[in-house]
Amino acid sequence: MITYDASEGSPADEGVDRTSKIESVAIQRMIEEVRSGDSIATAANYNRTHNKHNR
Amino acid sequence: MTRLQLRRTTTGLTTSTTARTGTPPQTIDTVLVKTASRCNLNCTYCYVYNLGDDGWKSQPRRMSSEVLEAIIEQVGELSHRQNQAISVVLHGGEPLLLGFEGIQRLVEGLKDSLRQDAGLHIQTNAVLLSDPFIDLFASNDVGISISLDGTAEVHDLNRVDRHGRGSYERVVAAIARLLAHPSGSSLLTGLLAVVDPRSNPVDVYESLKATGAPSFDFLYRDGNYANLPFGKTRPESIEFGNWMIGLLEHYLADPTPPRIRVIDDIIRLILGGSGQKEGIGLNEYGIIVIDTDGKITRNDTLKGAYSGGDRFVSEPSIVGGRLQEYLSSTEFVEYFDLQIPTSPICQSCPELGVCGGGMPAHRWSDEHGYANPTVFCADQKLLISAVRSRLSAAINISSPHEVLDRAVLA
Repeated sequence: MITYDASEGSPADEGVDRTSKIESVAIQRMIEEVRSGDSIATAANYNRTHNKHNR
Repeated sequence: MTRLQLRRTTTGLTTSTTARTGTPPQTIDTVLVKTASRCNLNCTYCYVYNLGDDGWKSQPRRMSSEVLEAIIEQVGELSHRQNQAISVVLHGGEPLLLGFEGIQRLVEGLKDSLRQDAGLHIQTNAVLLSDPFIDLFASNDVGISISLDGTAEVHDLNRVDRHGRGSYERVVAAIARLLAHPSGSSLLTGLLAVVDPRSNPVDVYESLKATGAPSFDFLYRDGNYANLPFGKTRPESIEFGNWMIGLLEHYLADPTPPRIRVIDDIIRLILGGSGQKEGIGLNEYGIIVIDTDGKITRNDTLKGAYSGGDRFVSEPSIVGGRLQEYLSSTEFVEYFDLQIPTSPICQSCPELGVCGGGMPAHRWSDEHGYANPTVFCADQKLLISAVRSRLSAAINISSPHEVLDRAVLA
């Protein structure tokens, strides 16, 4: 499960399983998210406000 | 109303004959509060001022105390009555033009009245984002999203002030000031960029990343079949799709990528998860706007379809009315149903579950109203196909339509 905190620097790849054969961090973390049922503890400030508006 | 309806689910469309009028109030997840009706910038592509709608001219410049107090009371009450967590977004125009005192009253009042899991957020051009505002937002946990289009050259082409001067240096300085605050990195939710298909997506990506922001989101230029978006030569052309693929390739190859919300949503949906914002996927979102004069309106992006496209006929107001009651009204139900793509092309499209038919404002034509695919249909098909292809290659499966079960369920 991805549990990084953006306040500790780049949220890029903390928590991502680096033993995976998938080389793309962006793909790997999305797989981890969907595996965990979309209920991940993601970066503190990513989608933190549930804003659904596209502007 | 008992017509056969297409209903949204996370996996696709299902049919229902359930009557919706008279059903419990619609669930709201996002309330946009237009604290100021004017802006200190005059961005060339702005859907509020420069796409034909002139509703802003009849609005007061700033929200009155009466409207602010009604919002604090009624939106707070709404957050306690529904199961869905609610997000309140201070928006404009430029929301900070309300002034410090008004923003402080609204933020602190909402902090008291909203349920604890509610989110408070501001979408700003950041030119007026002073240290006192940053302190106020830090004290009240207000997420800050900043509009920045990429490099100075790309940004300053369109995001100019009333004197035609670019705003890039002022915005980047504000981001640096915010990130220097002890709470800054947790307050900055991300950057919102409008795509200029003439630009280099790699340069834009690297420029945004260099700010230190944790996530970005990208918007296409607004338009529809009646008024094609800037940069799109015809509905079938793929200028935006090609640009996004350039961005996608760089993003997927980056060993330390920030988040790109629109691409993450597409990946998540292909993998069988849910999208997280309007315009992608088939989730149903409840978005309402409180305009500067207190009128409750539809999604403000509908201004981009035709002048007045965001207004309700009955002109409900949060002052003297009850927000909760309007959410059961026929015109609210019809507004929410607008999200459902009704074009036969969309209904038979194998990518509808991921694409979702795009933003309703981008579906508009004078001939068929909203019953069209998004004007970016060709772009989205190209992008979604590219994401499927890259996912297939990364996960080493033979067919992009195996839905990557192997990867997700492994």
